[in-house]
Amino acid sequence: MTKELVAALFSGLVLGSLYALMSMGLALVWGGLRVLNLTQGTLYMLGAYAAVLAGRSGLSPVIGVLLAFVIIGVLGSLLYVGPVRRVSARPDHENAVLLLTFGLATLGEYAALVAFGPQPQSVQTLVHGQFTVVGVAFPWNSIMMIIATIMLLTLLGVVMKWTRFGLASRALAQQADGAQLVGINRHRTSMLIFGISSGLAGVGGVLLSSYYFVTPYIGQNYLLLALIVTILGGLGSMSGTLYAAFLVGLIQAISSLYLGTRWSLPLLFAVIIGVLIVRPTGIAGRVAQERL
Amino acid sequence: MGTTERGANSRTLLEVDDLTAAYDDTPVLTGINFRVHEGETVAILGPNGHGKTTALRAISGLHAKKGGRVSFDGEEISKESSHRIVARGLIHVPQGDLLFGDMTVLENLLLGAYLPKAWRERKERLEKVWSIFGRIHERRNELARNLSGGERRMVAIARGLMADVKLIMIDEPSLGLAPVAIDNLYSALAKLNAVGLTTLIVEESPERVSGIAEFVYLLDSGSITFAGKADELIRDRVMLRTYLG
Repeated sequence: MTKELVAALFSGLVLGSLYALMSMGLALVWGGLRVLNLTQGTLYMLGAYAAVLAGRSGLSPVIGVLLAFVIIGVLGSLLYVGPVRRVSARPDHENAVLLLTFGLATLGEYAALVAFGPQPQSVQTLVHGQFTVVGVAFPWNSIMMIIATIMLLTLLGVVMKWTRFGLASRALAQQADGAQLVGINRHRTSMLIFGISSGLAGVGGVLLSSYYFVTPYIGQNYLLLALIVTILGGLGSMSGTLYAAFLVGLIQAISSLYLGTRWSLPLLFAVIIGVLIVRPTGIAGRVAQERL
Repeated sequence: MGTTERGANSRTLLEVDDLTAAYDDTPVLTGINFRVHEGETVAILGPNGHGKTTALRAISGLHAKKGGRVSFDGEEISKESSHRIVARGLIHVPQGDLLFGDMTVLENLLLGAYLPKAWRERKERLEKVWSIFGRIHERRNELARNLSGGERRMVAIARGLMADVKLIMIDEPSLGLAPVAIDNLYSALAKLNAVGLTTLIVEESPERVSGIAEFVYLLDSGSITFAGKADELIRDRVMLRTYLG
């Protein structure tokens, strides 16, 4: 049984990495702009197709990851500069952006369906081989996925904590008028936030493609899980999102082992309901303060 | 209106001509005119709800102007967005402070130096600001939301001073503060005044600004009803009673 548990824990970490990359994008946009970007799942899916195309063209996986970050990142920035920015000017922009990004996500999904067809496609693993400890196989591809996620999110954490861009993003989230009064260009910062979060989704998609089959619908499933993770972590909290991503991954993996896969989602929702009853703002979320 | 001559030898930094603003269809400013010259400390006085805060918000681009012209340092800025106005050196310390509550005092101040030139000099600027506001230096690693009202006001002003400031507009520095905190704050403002920083202060009480403001405008029901030296206004008991109660 120990072997199975170790394997389940490892699988939970891999799932957690996938969820973390995608949820971090959602958390970043919510944190900076106070809107939920539902195109995140579609961008994730496009990242996975980028890996399919890169694989077919014989590009190196590392180049594929970089290209996915840049191309999907630019696409995300354009989404902000075009439709999202226009809708953001409305007084009820939170709901309007939610509906707009839902529409764009659906459109993107149909576009992928037309372009790539419904049949699942597979991509070769980015790194081959595995090693075995106590009878459990650890594929290097999965190890690489966890390491890549930790590196990317650490880099993002450093950027958000110490750079001008990071300070500006956090300032914009907390007090938009105050941010403008220190010289922050709200639209340029928002565009960058959209770009980086989309780029992260793209990288998540590439990593995902080496783990699961790629279809036009994969984004939807991961968007739902990313929303769960983001809410559980505390909307807009990056550290909370990270804890929640690994928590959700581990709950899924361990419940699948002991209770079977059909209990995995119900158990997940039970945990989330429990956490939100005890902490309505999520693991690391804060109640909005009106005083400042 | 007072007729006192001022600033004959200094350059006009801020010129506001016929500025109008409204909330929906309710007019708040009905065409105000005033000037701030380089090196001056000017005060706009007036009762609450008569347009002082709206005037500053309209100048700094936070509130839409209905009409009129605002020029800064010789160039029109009427249609510019807030971040561009900040880049010109016109800094607004707003009512309610608008600090970043979940960030530390230090991070709030670093954000004051957000624009590239100020960012490069942020360490030197921090030292200067700490020397004016010693109290907030002690609290530099505290979250802004945990500060007292007086400390928050100091951080808001200090954040403004971290920028490349040519003129600082401070909205009701004494609002909601205990008398001791007001005295501390005004002694810090007097230090700024002494080094020749051009300042525009909005206040309700003329006594507060009489020690540091060289020139005063009275804003009543959206228009300027007096312009003159602070001591002239304080001497004019009838005017004071009529407008400020």
